[in-house]
Amino acid sequence: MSDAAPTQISRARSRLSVGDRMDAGMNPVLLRDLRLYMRGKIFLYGYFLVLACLIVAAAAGVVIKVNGESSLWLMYPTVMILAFAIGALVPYLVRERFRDELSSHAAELILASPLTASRLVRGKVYGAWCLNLMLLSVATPVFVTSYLLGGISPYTLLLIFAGLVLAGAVMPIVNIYLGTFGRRPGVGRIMSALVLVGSFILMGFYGGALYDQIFGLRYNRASFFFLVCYAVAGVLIAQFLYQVSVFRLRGPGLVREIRPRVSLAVAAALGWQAAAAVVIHVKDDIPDWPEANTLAFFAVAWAFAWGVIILARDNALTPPARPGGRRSRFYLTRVGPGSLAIYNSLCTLVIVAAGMAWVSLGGWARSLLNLTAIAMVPLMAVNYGIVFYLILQSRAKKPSGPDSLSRTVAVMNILFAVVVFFLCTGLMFDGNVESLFAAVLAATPMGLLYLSIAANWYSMAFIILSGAAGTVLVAIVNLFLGWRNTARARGGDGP
Amino acid sequence: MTEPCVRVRDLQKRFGTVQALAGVSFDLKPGEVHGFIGPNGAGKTTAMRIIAGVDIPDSGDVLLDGKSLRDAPEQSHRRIGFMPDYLDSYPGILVWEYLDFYARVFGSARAERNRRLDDVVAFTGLGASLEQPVAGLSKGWKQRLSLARVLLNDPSVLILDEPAAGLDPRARVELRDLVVELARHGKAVFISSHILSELAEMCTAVTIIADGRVRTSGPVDALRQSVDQGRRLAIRLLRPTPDDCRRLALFLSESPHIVAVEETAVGAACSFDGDDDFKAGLLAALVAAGFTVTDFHDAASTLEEAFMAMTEKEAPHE
Repeated sequence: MSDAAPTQISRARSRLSVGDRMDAGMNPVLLRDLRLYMRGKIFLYGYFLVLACLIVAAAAGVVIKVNGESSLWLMYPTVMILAFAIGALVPYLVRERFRDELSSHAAELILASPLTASRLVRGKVYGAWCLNLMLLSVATPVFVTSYLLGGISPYTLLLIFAGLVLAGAVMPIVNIYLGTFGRRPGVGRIMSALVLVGSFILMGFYGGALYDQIFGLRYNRASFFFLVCYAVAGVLIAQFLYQVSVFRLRGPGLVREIRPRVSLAVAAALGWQAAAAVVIHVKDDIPDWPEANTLAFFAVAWAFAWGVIILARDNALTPPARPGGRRSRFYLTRVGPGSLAIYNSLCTLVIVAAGMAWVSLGGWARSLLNLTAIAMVPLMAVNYGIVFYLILQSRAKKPSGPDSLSRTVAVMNILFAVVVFFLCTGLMFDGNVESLFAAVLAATPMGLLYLSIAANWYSMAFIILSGAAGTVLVAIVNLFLGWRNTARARGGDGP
Repeated sequence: MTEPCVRVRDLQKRFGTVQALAGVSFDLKPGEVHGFIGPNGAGKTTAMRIIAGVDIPDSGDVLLDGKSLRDAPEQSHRRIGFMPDYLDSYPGILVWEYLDFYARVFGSARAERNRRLDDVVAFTGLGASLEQPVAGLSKGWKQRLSLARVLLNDPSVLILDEPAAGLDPRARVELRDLVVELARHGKAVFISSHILSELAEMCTAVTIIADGRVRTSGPVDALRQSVDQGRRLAIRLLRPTPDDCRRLALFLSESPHIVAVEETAVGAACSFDGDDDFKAGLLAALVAAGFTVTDFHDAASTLEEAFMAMTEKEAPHE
């Protein structure tokens, strides 16, 4: 047997501060589930769920005309989808996991310990609540944007948010309870389906409450198709292409073995994207810019994002050696789906606060539009490429990639924020260029925040409070989860 | 004489029409490695689960230091560590997270919990794999992890259900060393296995169960002696031929105090009821008769032989 040398656990634990003090009384089941949720795909799917909200919103804006104008009911489809996710999907997932735990005898070992059955169930319920709250944090930008766009009072927004929190608290309890019925999982599933009906009732209630709310955001068909390409098709095709051998690279470090046809495809995508961006920028006064070009442009930009996937994946497969071998593992900066979603939400809120301040300084910043717009699309595409990569990485057996990719995500978000910051000033919606940029910005919740010029100090205060609340939430989550520095495993005859 | 720490009394358990346990009784003592042997479906796992507090018997009781576990089942949660023949796992959980979860489940203070984690990780050699996902561990390392989980609350009684199943020879040897070390620390180790040769090397006591009933229970030596009809001798000849072995067996069968004779490929084995003087005389008689004896020693029954003898009259279990 190995010598009784001090282990990473004791050294790591000695560095905890507030987390240590909160250690006592922490429900172990809650803590375990939170750690697993943070590494799971649920946040990534939640991230794209928010995008799905935007797609539906754009579609509603295109199809539905109110008072003679195309209006976007941003909150209506958002709440519908969130209510479905929080009221039905998440509880269903939690229930399935609970049932798996019961059916696989895993719960037996827990119940053969001092942990009582009630504490076990409470831990599952609390975990589901935290999961729902974190999903809501991903959608926080949508709430903030809705307020910025006007037409809905803060009271109504808070009411909606509170309703979703309440639904997220009640539904998991019901589903976990249903999950204990019978040995056959089908029984619980049927009952959960019945509960799902109730969640639609919730959606209808909130939908009705927002019926007469009108928002000022306008979309056109170009943005609609853009959202479809990036948010939905990209995910599906990325999953499919992951299986293609040509995309599997060998060796660490730089890309070494990209097949010629893939290289050609990536080069073509980059070239077309750059050319299209220049053409669009130069020809912004052409009123009849074909939508097909716009569609093709964004499809190619997606291909560029896929090229980034290859680079990011190649860089992430083998962690670079680092002197000293120390590697921080902080749940927020670690490249995991949960951290990405929460990180984006935080960045969104911070950027909005800064952007609102700049708005009040006047339109001089608009002159920077032309310079930053060209860089806007590829930066956004890279951002999505990294998100797509996380989907692929989540399929791997081993945990997420190394800190290099974490830094990449952080840098990309900062660059993205800088670019979008300059775009926030005086963005109009009528011209072709602006419509194009609006479509680009609409592809991410961060971009939506800059589509309104109805900013005021009251809005900024609301945003800051939202950001603070989100930050506190993430901080609490990470305190519960515990952060530690771990020494790199040094060889040994491991498994 | 050490008093038993666990007394199992007349456990009965029925699953539908199947009587899994039909009155099982035995004792476990501190510092003892107690083997639990039986054919498939004999009721081993059922009995172990009841002792561990995972299942409830229909009747009977388990006394832990004289206190009934039926009246106070929470006693078993802290004093008894149960290692089943499976490893519960959760998708994506890491080794250190798994251990940390169970360490927290036992509710000890943070400092004590960390100390136990360090001790357990060092004892089981899991230090290099703390960051690995549990799902990616090999069978042997999963067994180590399961054992580490069991040791987190420092139980006085360990119940290990088929811990060596599926392990390679090296891993089995290492596990055996761990088990012996645990017993040396004063723990009562109750272990079931189908690899009787390994149990024979580490067990000081065994309980043989078949069809839900205990066939025998007690020290290993006593079990062997109860199977052996008196003392046994194994005799080996130099370059034996079948005729030589046959002649030897015939010679022994005609000798006094010889109870039973068995011809072997290299000579013969016999049971006798004499003393050491008889042994010496028998050896001299064999040499005088012209047998070229190269080996002449006491040979007690193996655990396999004892098990087969105890269960040979049982019908195959469905």
